[in-house]
Amino acid sequence: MNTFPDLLKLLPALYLMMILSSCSNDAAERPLPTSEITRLSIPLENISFQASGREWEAVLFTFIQPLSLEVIYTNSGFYVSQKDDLGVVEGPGRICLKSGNSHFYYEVLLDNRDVGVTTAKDYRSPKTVNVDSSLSHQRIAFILDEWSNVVDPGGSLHFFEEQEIILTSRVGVYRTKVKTPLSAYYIQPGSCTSVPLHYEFRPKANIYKVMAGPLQDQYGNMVGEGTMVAFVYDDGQYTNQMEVMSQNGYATIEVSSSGSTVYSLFAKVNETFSSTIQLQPW
Amino acid sequence: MRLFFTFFFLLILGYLLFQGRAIERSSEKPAFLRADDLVLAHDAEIKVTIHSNYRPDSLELEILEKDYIALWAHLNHLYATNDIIAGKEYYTESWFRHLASHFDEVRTAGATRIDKYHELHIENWSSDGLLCTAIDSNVVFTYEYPDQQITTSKATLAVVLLYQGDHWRIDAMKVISENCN
Repeated sequence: MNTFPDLLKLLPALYLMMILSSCSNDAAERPLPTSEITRLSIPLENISFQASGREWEAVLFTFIQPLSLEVIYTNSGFYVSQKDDLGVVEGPGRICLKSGNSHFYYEVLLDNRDVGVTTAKDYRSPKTVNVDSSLSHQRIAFILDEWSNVVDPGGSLHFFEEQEIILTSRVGVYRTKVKTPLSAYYIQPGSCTSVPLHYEFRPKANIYKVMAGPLQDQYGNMVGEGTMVAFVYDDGQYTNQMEVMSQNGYATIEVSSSGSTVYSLFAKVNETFSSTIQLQPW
Repeated sequence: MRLFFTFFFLLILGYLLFQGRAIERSSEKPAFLRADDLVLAHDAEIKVTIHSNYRPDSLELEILEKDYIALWAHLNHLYATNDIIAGKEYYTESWFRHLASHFDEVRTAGATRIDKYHELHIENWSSDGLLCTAIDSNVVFTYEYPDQQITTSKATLAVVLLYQGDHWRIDAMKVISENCN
């Protein structure tokens, strides 16, 4: 019996057959698209491929992110479709079809069927302007679509606009878009340019009520809330100082009257001084 | 009475110990303590040209260059793996939302992309240094496919970057062109 040595002789041939058969199982043939797929609109409509086998995976590589596609088999192959109906960052992409260890790539150009909701971005800087320093405002504007694509409105590759805007000198909170609080920018009042003083004597309480205001900046805006106003008064012997914060452009103090003493009083906001007035009960 | 107080004290102690164990401790370090391996492993050349009315100073420019290259390290990783979390420090909220809307799973890398070179033309620079719009031209990309095939392309992109938190972040993009060599 020489069966065993004969079998040994056959081993290399058997080994070769095994390798060949394993290769033929792994190597899938490149699926053929049944229509032109160089330019695709997102969301993808069904893209049909002629292919054999039923173990295909499909991925759409957009320029930014890979998206898994759904594979639905037909008699002659399969078709792939997008799982959601969202847009993508437009541009070049690749469809990858994978079966076992075989990968097949198809270069495509992607654009969105619908730009979705476009947003006109209007960035202002600085966000807060003080009328004392500058009324100049930088505006950078562009349009984005719902899928984070920068829109080219004129089709001339001019994506961004920049302007220098001279703002109104009226203090306030303004918005570049009325319904968007985040688009707000602020014009702040400047420093006080004059300190008018008024007083009245109240005999019942025996006090002088002294009022500084309206405290305004160079454009007539009331100074900021809480601006510190110092009142300095002198009775000939002692000098006293009271500090109060302004409210709605006015600051008020009360000074007790003592008989016929006459006080000289002035007020100041930083280095802006009022005239000196005499407080007397008659 | 002493017994009561001892029991009460032990009860409080036990409660506090239990509470201490029950607190979930996050293993995620804050961004500034983390080493970004993707960025450390990435290297690309960048040349910046300024066309804007306001000019960034040298320090601002250095930060922009560093962050822009880091951003591309993450965009390449995202392209290959769909891992939207790794680069979240370099994405604005709206960009991240857009990525998240498409997210299904992180995949093992199939095709990969590497950026080699950027010519970043700063078109607008906000006076407060928080917004930058730019055209990135002659961007050299290398794509490597699972079958070892390698292709190179040159692309031109328009990008909107916002400075938020500690980084420049991408807010929007327009791929103007990409041509394979």
